[in-house]
Amino acid sequence: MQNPKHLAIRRIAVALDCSPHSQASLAAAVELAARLRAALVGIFVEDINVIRLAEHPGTSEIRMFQQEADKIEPESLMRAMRRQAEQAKRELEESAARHSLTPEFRISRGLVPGEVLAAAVGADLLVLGRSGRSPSCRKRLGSTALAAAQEAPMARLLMKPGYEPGELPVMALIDSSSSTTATLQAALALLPDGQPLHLFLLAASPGEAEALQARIEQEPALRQVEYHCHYLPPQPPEALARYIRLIDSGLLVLNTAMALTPETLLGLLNHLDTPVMLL
Amino acid sequence: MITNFPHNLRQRCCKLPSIAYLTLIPPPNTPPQKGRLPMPQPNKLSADQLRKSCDPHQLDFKTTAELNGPAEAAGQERAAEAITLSLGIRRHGFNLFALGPGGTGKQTALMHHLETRAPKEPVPRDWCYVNNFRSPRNPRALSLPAGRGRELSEEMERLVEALFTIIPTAFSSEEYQARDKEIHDSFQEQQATAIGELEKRAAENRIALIRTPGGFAFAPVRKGEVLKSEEFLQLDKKEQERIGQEIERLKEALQSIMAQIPKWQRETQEKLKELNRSVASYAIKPLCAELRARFSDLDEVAGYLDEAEKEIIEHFEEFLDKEEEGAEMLFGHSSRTLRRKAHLTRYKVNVIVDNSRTTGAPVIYEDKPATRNIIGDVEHLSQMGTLVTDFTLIRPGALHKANGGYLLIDARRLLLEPMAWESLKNALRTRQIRIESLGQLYSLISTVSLEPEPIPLQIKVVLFGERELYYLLSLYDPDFGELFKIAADFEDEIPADEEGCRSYARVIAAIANRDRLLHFDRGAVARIIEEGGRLAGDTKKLSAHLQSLSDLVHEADYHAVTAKRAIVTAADVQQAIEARIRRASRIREKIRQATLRHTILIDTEGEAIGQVNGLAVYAPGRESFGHPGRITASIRLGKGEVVDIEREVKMGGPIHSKGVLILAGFIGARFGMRQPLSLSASLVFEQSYQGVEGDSASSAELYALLSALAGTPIRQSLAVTGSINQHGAVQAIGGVNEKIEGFFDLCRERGLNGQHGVLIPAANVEHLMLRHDLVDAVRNGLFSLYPVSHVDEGIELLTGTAAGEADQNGDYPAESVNGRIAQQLARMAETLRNFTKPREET
Repeated sequence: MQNPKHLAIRRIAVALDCSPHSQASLAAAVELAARLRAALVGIFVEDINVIRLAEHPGTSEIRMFQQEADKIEPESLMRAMRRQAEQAKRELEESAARHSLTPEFRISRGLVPGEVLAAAVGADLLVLGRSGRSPSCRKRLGSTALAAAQEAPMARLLMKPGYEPGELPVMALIDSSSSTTATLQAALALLPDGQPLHLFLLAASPGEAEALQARIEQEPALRQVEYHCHYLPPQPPEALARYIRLIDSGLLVLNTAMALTPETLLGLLNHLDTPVMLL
Repeated sequence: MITNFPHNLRQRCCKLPSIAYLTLIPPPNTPPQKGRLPMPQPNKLSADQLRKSCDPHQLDFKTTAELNGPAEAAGQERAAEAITLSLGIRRHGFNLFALGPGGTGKQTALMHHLETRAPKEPVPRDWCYVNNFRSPRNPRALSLPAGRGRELSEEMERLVEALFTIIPTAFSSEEYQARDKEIHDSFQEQQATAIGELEKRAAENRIALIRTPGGFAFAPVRKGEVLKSEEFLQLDKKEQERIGQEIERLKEALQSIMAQIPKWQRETQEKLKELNRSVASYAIKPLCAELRARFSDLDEVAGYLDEAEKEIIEHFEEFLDKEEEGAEMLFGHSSRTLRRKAHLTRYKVNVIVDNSRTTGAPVIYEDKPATRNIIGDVEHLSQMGTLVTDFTLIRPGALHKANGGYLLIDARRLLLEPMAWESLKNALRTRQIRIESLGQLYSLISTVSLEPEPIPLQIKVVLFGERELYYLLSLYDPDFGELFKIAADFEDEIPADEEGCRSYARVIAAIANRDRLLHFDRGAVARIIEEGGRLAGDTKKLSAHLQSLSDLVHEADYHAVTAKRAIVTAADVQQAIEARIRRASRIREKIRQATLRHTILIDTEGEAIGQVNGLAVYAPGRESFGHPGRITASIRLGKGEVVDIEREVKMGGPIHSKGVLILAGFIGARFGMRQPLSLSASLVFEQSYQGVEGDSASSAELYALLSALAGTPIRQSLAVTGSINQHGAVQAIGGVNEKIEGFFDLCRERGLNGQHGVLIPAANVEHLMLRHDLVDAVRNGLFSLYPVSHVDEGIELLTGTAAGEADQNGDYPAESVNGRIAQQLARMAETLRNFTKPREET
């Protein structure tokens, strides 16, 4: 691993809702916190929409593998929500204890995206699932992840289940903007020992890509690792995502300061099916 | 102290077996007294008649080193013929029972036949047990040509090892990963599309699908937020109703989607399974095809390989094991190693019969014929306190190993093992080997265990054992005759002719070669042949007890080696024989000492009425010896019965009692025709404290009784052996040599004076193989042997008085023994008549 100072993160917030995405986020957050010696904050939001829903008379709940809908009782729903919060806290504490960390746990109530961003204020990194307890099993970003991607001022790590933190291959998407150095430093900080770094050079032409490559070769930190450069011409987000997937499946480091339109960036995030570190 | 002696003696003798009393009488050299009738008196036997010597110079070799051949005695032609017949008939049931006393070389003879025959017969097929993938409880038996079982086993092990590389490689390929992801994505997409459309439809109606802690619900929203209940109530009724109705429709639609999710999951699983099957099949097919090609000539094996291939494809994930970092260690093995071992076991080939190195048909001798050693066994392993098993723990029995060949078993050992005989019979009757544990055979346990497929059985079983076992099995086991149709009856003795002597020499040579002993010169061989005659108790026979012969050979070798000789001589053999006698002489010496000290009363000089020296054989172990015993008779008035005191106190065996009744019959027939016998007689073996069996003392008892009746004394320098019949004929008995030697030894201790001797049945003369010292004493006139054919000859020799022959009127000469008896009986009858008359009158 490269020098962690390249990634100046002293406080990590992680959004918890007990979903598989949330558990993957927790594992990544704990691993990073232990490695970067950062403080860890767990955030659980009591979804106001669910609370309001329960207050509606005659509202019923549809459960998986059950034919009839059950009437929702506000009290039992609140109890269930508290249990979920307790479970999230327990998971956070158990996971942190394995790395000798003492986490902080916060509960707030409100609309989930807003509450998560509000609770994460002061953190250098927000870790959350690409989607939460979404009913649609969507591949695209969930509402909270989308809000975080668009609005959060800090670095964001969008996780998904099936990826082991600390063992992820690392890729970085760079262009000729000024954000490249920061992106490279973050990618190098996250790169596991002995693994090559894949760099996707987003350039309008091969010549521009070569120039970019020549530029990054000057980066002293890169001289110590094996890296591979892949030229990416401008393409629709789904094509970009497909090409990246072809090269490897790991953590992609992106920078919002890149010369990408917000639509392209969002489209790319939606079509990528891997964890993403958004700087 | 003398009063206590009988008790002490009883204690000393209590371990002795029954005494066998046999018969005979002797005569003195004194001239016959008056009244002697023309009964021809038997001549003493000459020294040459007492022993058949083997002249070493008649043997056509100098030492046994010049000889070769089997360690098998000649003269077993009958048994050999039976063996040849049994081995030659391959039909079911023609198994062989070799019967005869232990140590007569039955096993050696059988092995000799089989060693000649078996190598020329075809090598049987190998047998393997493999997993029955459809029913693991019933492992499958595979038969392969000799040597190919091991080949199959090794090939399967190689295949499984290779699969641990090939399958993980196939499943970690990018192509597989891509297809796997595609299927998963497709399922996710299917769900997402259905729910997404529903969410979209809901959103059009300002309704949101909300995930609750336990499920899903719909609620009206405004700008992404669920309406508070009071806000909802502020809506107009129509709108509220519309929303309510729409939510109901959405719920139905969601439930419909939910109902389809399990189906989509199943379809996805099927697709994944099909993909896995296809990838696994593609990966292993070349290996399996190569293996199948090797065994394409064996349909059964090819079938098994097909099934194994299907099984591997079906359970490909068994070969995807990865060693986790810090994996738990169990008993020194990583969990991966244990799992791999388990998988290897599943496809293992358990070769239970490997004939790759067998030449001809196998010949197996099962030394411990326990059931599990006969029919095989399913062993169990203890794992974490539980007993587990599988087909690799099937162990073959002797029947498996000998299948296609020959199995030799000691019948007595077989019968002593629980259920072993029944198991063997079952296998022979059904012609298949079915492995069952003792628990199953006894129906004692019903736990689930393996039931391996039975294996067809083609075998020749040879049992060998004592004759009694054969007769008992014939009598009481109805299956025996069906399964063991041929009996090879081994002789106890072989003719002492030239061939018999040569076969003895060959056996000695074979033992010396086999056991790396010194070779024997012809003098030593001749001495052993003489001992063979002695063991047979017959001058015309040699003992066929090869075990005794072998023991003597080893002992003689020891003495020769101790004396630092390069070859065993007659002196070594003689030393071995004497040492053997000396080793077993403790009891004999005790009895002899007690007799010399007159604790046991035996007279060897003088005369006594109603008292005679009988001869008994003691056999406390392997060695037997003879010793005289005093027999006395007493008479009194009575009703003609002869009381056998031994029988009265239940110390006499049935044969002995029969002998006494026979002599009573003789007395009655000879003297009871004119008048009722008015006597009661008692017969007893003095100082006998254990059982008496045999009829060889019946002549001695009769002589004692005749002496008592006649009042004529019997010479105590003579001893008698021989049984009698009701006509007074003296019949042959056993152990004649030991009996004569027993009396000779006592007389020699007390001093031989030429008066001592033994009366033996004339029919026993050809059984004489007496010791050299005794023969020398006879040659020097110090001891005599008298062959007696009739009681009258014997009584004359014993009393020196003529027996007397009845005239035309049935009267005996008055001074003869018989005449005196007749007079005594007449007096007794008169006395009894006089005694009973007055009582009748009163």
